[in-house]
Amino acid sequence: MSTYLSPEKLGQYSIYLALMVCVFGFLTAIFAQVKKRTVYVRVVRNSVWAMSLAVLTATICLWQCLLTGRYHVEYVHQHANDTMPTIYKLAALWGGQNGSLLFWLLILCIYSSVVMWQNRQKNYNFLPMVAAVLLAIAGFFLVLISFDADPFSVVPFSIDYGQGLNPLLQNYYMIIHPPSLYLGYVGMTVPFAFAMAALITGQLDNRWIVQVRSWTLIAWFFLSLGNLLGSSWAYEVLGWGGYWAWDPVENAAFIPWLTASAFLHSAIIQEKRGMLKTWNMALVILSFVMTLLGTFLTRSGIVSSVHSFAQSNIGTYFLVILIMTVGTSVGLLLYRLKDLRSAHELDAIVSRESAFLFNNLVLVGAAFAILWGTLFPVLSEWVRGTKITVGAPYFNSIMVPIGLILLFLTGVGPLVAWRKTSQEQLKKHFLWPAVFLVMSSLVLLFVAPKTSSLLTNIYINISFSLCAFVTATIFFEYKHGIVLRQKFFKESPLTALMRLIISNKRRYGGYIVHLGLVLLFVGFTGSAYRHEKEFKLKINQVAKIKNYTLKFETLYPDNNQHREKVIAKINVWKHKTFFGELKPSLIYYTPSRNQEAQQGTEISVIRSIKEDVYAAMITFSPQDQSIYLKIIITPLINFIWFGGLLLVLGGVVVMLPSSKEGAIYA
Amino acid sequence: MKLKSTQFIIALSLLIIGIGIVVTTTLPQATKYYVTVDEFLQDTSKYDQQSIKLAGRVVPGSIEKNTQDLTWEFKVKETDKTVNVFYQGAMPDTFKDESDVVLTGSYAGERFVATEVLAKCASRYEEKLEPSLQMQTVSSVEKRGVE
Repeated sequence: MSTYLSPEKLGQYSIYLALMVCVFGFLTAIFAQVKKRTVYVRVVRNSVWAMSLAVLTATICLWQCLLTGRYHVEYVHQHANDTMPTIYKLAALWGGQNGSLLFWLLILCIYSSVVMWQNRQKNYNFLPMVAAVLLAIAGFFLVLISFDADPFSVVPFSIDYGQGLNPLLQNYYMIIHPPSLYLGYVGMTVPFAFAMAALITGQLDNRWIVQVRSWTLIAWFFLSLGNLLGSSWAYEVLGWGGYWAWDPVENAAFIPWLTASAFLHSAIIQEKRGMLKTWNMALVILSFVMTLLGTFLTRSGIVSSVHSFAQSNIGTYFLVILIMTVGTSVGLLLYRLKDLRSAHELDAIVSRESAFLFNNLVLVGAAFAILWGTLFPVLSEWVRGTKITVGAPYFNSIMVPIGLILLFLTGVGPLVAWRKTSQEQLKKHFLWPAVFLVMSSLVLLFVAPKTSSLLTNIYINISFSLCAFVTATIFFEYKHGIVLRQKFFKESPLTALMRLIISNKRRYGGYIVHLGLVLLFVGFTGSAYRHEKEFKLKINQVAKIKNYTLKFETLYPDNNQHREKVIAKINVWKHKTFFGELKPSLIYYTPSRNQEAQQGTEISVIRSIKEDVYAAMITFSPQDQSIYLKIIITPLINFIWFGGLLLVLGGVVVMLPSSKEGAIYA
Repeated sequence: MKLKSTQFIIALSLLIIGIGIVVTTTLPQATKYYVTVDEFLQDTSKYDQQSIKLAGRVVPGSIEKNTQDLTWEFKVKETDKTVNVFYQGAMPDTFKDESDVVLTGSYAGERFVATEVLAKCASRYEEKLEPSLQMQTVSSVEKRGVE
C-alpha cells in the first residue's frame, strides 16, 4: 500500500467534506434567517465558499485520475484511455453519468459562490434563504455523488487500460457543447433560489426580480449557445444533415429556454409597471422545474433518446427532488398569493404590456405543447399500457404556427406603446413595416419556389414576409434612435449607432436578439426546400442534383496509428462553372483493447449563403471502387448559424453591465 | 377597454384550449407503437400493415451488407427469438453487432422492413465492467502473484 493520498481518495474525502460543510451551512442559514441574526451571514457565505473549494478539489482529483490513467477508478476506466488527446481526457469529466453530475455540482458551486460574492454587502435580510436553497440543491447532488453515483469508486484489482471515450464524441463540440448546456441548465437554479427566498421571507418588492432577471439572462445565454452548438454538431457530425430532431433530450433543453425567454420579457413589465408578479414567480419556478424534469427524463431512461445514459436509479432521486420542489414552491406561491397582487391593471389590449403578455402565453404554450409531446409516451404507457412514440411530425406541425405567431409578435411588440397605443401612433409606426409585409408576401408569391404541399407554401410565404416585416420594424427602431441622436448630438451615423446601443443596452441589445431570431426563421424556412438524394458512383461517373454536377474523381487512403481513413474526392460544378471540391470520408478507428472496431463518417460541405452542398459517403466497395454517396442540398441553412450567433451576441449586449441600472438599484 | 386578471385567465384558458385542440388532433397521426422484439413476437398480427417502432439488439454475426445496392439484412432479438430485418439506405455509425437499435418500419409477413434505423449503442457510452472481464483480470493478477 502506498502511503500518500491517492487522487481518488482525496477526491472522495473532498466530497464527504463538502457534504458536511453543506449541511452545516444550510443549518446556519436557517438559523440566521429564523433568528434574524445577520451576523451569521458571513458564516453562511464562508460555508458556501468552503464547500465550493472542496468540490473544486474533487473535480481536479477526477481530472488528475483521467489524465494519469488511473484505470482502476471505474469512471476513468469507462471514459478514458491512453491514446486519447489530453483535451478529451479533460472533456471525459462530462462524458458519462457520474462525472457529469460532479461537473453539474461544480457549476452550481461556482454560481453560488459568485452570488455570495455579489451580495457580500447587500440583501442580508434574504440572502440566508438564497444560500439555504442553493445549499439544499447542492446537498442533493452531494448525496447523490456520495452514495449512488460515485465518480471515484474503484475496482479491487488493477486494470491498466481504459475503454476511452466513444470516437464519435471525440470532437471539438464535445469540449464546448455540454459545458455550455450545463451552464445554462444549472444557471436556472440561481433565479429559483432568489424567487424562493423572496417567497419565504415575504420580501416581494422589485429587488429579487432584478437579481433574478440578470441570472436568468445568463442561463438563457448559455442555453441558447448550447442548443446552437448542439444543432451545429448534429449537422456536421451526427445527424445526416439534420440539425434538430425533436429528441426528448433536445426538448428538455428547449423547454426551459422557452420559459426563460418568456420570463425575460415579462420581468420588464414587472419592473416598469409592477404587474404580473405571480406569473413571473411561476415562470421562474417552472424554468427550474423543467431543468429537473429534463434531467429526470434523460437519466432515468424512461423515454428513449439518442442521448441515452445507462438506466440507473438516479432517476428516482431526481423524481423525489422534482416532487419536493414542485410541492414546496407551489405551496409557497399559494401562501404568498395575496402579496403578489399587481400594482396596475392592463389599460388596453393594444399596448406593450399586452403584446408582452401574448408573447408570454405563446412561449409558455409552446413549452407545454413540447412537454406534452415528450411526456406522452410515458403517460400512454401508464394509462393504456402500450408504449408509443411521438415523432417529429407532431412537433413540426404544432411549432410552425406557434413560431410564426411568435415572429409576428416580435415585430409588433416594440411598435406599440406602454399602457395604450393611439390610432395615430399605430398608423405612424405600422405603416412602413406593414407595407413591407404585404409587398414581400406578393413578391414571394411569384418568386418563391413551390414545394409539393400547399400548406408548406403558405407557411413559407408567411414566414419570409414576417421576417421582412420584423426586420423593417427593427430597422426603423434603430433609424429613429440614430436620427434623434444625430439631431441632438451631431454624431456621425456610426457613432450614433454605437452610442445608441450603449445608452440602452437592454432595448437595443434585445433588438439584436430579435434580428438573430429573424435570421433563424429564414434558416428554418429554407429547410423546407431541403433536397436529398443518394447516388452510387464509380470513378469518373457523374451525378446530377438540382443544378449541380458532381464527378467522383478518386478514392484514396489516409491512415495513421489511431484510424484508417478512406477519402472520396468529388468535384462539383454549378451550372457549368467549377464550384468546389467535396471530400467525404469513412473512418475505421483502430480498436483499443477489448473494443470492437468503430466506424465513423466524416461529412464534407461546400457552404454558401444561398445553400449548402453536403456530402456523406455511406459506404464504398473496394472490389469495383464504387461509392454510395448521400448528397443533401439545404438552402439558407447558414442563416441558422448566423442568426444563432447574432442572438447570442445580442444576449451579450443585454448582459453588459449598465451604469444606469447600477445607479437605480444600487 | 380594461383587461383584468379574470380576463387574463380567460385568455390563458383560451390559449391552452387552442393549443390543446391542435395537440390532440395532430398527436394521433404522429404517434407510433413502440414495442420490443419480444412484445412484438407475442402477437405480430396486432401490428400488421402499420408503421411501428421496434426496439431490439442486433444479433452478432447476423449483419449482411450488400454494398452493390446498399441493402442490409440482419437479425434483432431481445431474449432468444429473433426477427429478420431488411433495410436499404445509410446506416448510422453506431450500428454494429450488439448495438441497441430502434427500427421504424412495418412487418411484411416474414421480415421487418425498416425505413429508419436508430442505433443507440448505449453499451458503449456507459459500460459496466463485464463479470467475465473482471474474472479474467483478477485471475491474471493472481497468476502474476503466484509467479
